[in-house]
Amino acid sequence: MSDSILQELAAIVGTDNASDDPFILDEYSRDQSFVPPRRPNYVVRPGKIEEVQEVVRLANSHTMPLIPYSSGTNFHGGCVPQHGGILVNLQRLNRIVDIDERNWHALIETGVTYSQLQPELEKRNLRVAAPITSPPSASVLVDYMERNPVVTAADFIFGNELFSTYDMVMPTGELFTVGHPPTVKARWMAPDGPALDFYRLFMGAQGTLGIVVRMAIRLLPLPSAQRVFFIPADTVKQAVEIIQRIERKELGLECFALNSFDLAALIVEDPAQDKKLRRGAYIGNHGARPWAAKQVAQFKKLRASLPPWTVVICLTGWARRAEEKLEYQELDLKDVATEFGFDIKRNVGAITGLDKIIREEVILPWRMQKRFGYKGSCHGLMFHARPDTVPELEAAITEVASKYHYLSSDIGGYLLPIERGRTIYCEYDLHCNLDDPADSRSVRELFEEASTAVVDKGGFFDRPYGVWADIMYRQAGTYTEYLKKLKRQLDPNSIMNPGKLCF
Amino acid sequence: MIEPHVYQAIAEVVGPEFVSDDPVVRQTYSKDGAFPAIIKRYKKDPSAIPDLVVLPASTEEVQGVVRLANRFGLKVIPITTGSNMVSLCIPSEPRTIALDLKRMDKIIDIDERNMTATIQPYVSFARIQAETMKRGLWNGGTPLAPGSCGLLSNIINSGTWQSALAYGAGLRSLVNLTLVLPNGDILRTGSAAIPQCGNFWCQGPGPELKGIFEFTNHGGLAVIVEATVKLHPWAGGKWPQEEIYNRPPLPANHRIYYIEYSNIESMNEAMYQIAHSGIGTHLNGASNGWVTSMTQRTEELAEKRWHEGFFPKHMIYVITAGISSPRQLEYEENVLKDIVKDTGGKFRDDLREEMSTWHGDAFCDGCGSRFQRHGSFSSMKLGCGHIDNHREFYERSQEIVKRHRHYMFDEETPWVYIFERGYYALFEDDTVFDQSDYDEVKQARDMNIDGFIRTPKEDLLDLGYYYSEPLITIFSSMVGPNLKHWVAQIKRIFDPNYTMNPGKLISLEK
Repeated sequence: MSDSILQELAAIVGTDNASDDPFILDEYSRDQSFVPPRRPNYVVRPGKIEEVQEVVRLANSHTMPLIPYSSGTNFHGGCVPQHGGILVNLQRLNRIVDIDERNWHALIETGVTYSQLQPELEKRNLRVAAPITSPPSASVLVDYMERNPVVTAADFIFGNELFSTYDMVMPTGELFTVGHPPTVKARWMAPDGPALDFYRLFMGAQGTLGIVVRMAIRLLPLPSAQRVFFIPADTVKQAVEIIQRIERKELGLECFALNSFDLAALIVEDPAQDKKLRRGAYIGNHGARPWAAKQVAQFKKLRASLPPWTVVICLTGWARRAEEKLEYQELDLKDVATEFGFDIKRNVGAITGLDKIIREEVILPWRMQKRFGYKGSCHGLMFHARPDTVPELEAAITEVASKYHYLSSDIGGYLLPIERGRTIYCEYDLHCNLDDPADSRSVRELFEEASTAVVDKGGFFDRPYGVWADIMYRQAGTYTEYLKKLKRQLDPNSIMNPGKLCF
Repeated sequence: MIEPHVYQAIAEVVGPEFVSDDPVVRQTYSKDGAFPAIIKRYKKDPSAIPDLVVLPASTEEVQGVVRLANRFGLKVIPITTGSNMVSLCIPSEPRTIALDLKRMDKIIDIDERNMTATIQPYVSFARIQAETMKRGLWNGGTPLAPGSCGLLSNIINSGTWQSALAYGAGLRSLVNLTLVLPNGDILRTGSAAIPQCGNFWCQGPGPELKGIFEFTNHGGLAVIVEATVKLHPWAGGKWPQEEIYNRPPLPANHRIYYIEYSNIESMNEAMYQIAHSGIGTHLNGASNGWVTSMTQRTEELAEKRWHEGFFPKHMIYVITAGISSPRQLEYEENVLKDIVKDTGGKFRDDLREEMSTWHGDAFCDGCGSRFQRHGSFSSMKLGCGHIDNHREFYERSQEIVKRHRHYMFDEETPWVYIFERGYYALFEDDTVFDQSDYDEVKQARDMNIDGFIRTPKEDLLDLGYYYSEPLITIFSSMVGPNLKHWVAQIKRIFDPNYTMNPGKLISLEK
């Protein structure tokens, strides 16, 4: 080990946890997105918060970039080291420090995954709210910091900012606790404060303002009873209207809509990959293994049997009088359906066991990974929209797609109402084979042009990964200017994940 | 003293009739019901009186005034409805402008489909409720303050509403802000940062700047000229009926329950179970002292009821709403009855008549005006915690009462708000006092500070314990040694000339 920086890193995290082996660096140089790959100079795997602090101080002393990396499930270039540097793999920081059953909280470190946490919670009749699009191997903490919308997003309390406090290693190496300072023995309360709402400032920062190492997340009770209903819709406009009608009545806990592509991808079987899917290891840094022709045919047959859009609503009862709650909510749902002229069904497309699939997916999702296997990689246009603009935004995407001779039936569609449908989170997926240069280039250009079209029509990329950063920040003049000023103050050596956002 | 040419320049921005250096006018901006302002008044401290009162009517006029303030080294304190109870709008330095925003009073938009309202700073709770309830929506309540209280400034200061069980703390209600920065720049947050995206989503792009202007910012970084707030479905129909405003019936599709407990522990257990069952929009804990002061029609009647222990010592109240249908009310009542039975509670339907004013206050007006019949009151927010911490807060409250002259809440439990389905709770006691009696003011102040947190009083007395800087000093040791440094850096970025409401957020080195 002749490299002095590597020696210093090894002195902090141990020889086995610091590397400049080109083979290992290659593994961290890319993800399945269109973001150009670049190797880090070093990879370290700290096992303690103090080690993270030491690594940050060391990076400052050498003015070397730091790239926080948690579970490897960012598929949008968020952890690709655009300027090289030290990649800090936080997977060893994976302790479930505490589960507070009484107050519905868990204190977890960055490397804790859904598949690690959920079984522990189920023993206590609790659950963690997960995004239906995240693999089970994803970091809970990073999903929450990056505002990846969870499947319960329609609920006002259980849908957003599901944490109470977190600990962050600042770019100086100082540990900073964000949230309401304790005045009694209570360990976690509200995320506000101290003084300012710092927690909002650091969310969505893609590791550019510090490294979050520990978080008190908020939990939900495990359902005692669930009933799933499906509402077919011919158009996205109809799907959005159905969602808003239901949500205005505050009915159900989970609500979302899938187009025929995404619903077929959710339910198509792939037994050979089952273990990988359940582990969350289906998607690598070069995407997933493309489906065989037989599976593609099965998928297309399934897709053709499904309505263009399906709204899924899950009624949930907890410990007390769960069935009674489902009874009244089902009657109320039927009333809404009658009033506004739509059908509610217990199944769609004659799929066996669809109800069970949805009930499992809303607790510990894993099946949506399969969509990455359609062609090998999946490039989501992930944005928020005013409900009434969603049809126009979808039209803008399909118009650009047709220009690139991309079939509109090959666009995956997922709509998630936020806070009772005040806003709709939209994810429209484009698929390509990264090993086919022509296909890859065409879809990349389509992705970029469609991204611009989305923003031009009022769609909002609140998590501006990759090319979205330029599209968003060049239009947000004053906002961008002050973000840059803050970055200079908080991270004067610009070591934290440089090249991301507007930094 | 503001120089004539500066006065003239400001008058040219807002119009001569909307700027004043008349001592009588200025002095009215030196008073509120809280200790810092009262003490300054008794000490005849002239720093409490602004040098100029300015009333802009538009964002452009606010820009013009703050630019001039920066240029001529003036300080600016934004003021909305004037109902701040903790002296945040009282000057602490010479050459201060009281920037009274009462001419910016428009509800710019109510977006019924997307459940938001965009408002200017002077829009009150009463106005937003009157307008939104007509449309089957509401904002979630009032902060137990008069309906004239400003919605925007209350949210920004982390206001606490009755429906916090279902709709969270006030800061969860904010979508976006439009701010005039001290250099005159306009900053829009969230989706409004991108012009064609519009004003519908609160987070991003990337890091969310809105957080910097929230919580205990206290107008220390910018003037907020517009805010978009979230609304919720309102099941109550047309309400309240004007002719019986002071004792309105409960809104349609709502039920209220009063439940008595014999001790704090069983009361806590009930609050956990109710919060965790998912029912209800409102859940609070209260006591005899609280209820008498909030519900009785006269001060005399309140004292009588308090002395006779008319209301239970440990009581919770729950409000349920039939948002999807009346079936929801039936279901939630069944769940509540189970919980009350299991936790040994007793429904007190017999209190309904005595509590009837509360049927309005729980949704709309708020009892702040009744609280102030004694002259003034100050909130002694004991702090946030888990519901189980109720006992510790109660004991702290008792210790304080023993050490100080008490005003109303002897042997009572704190008022308890249950937030966000029980993730946390807020415990609060208040003191009431007569401002015209200086000894009573000082005693109430000492008691109040003691209640807030055990901390050297000299840090708090003159600054006001709601101001951020003493708290930042206290909390630094808990949250990270450089908290003060981070806040000061942010202040320097947005307000390098230390123009905005000096002393309330953090002091910069000269």
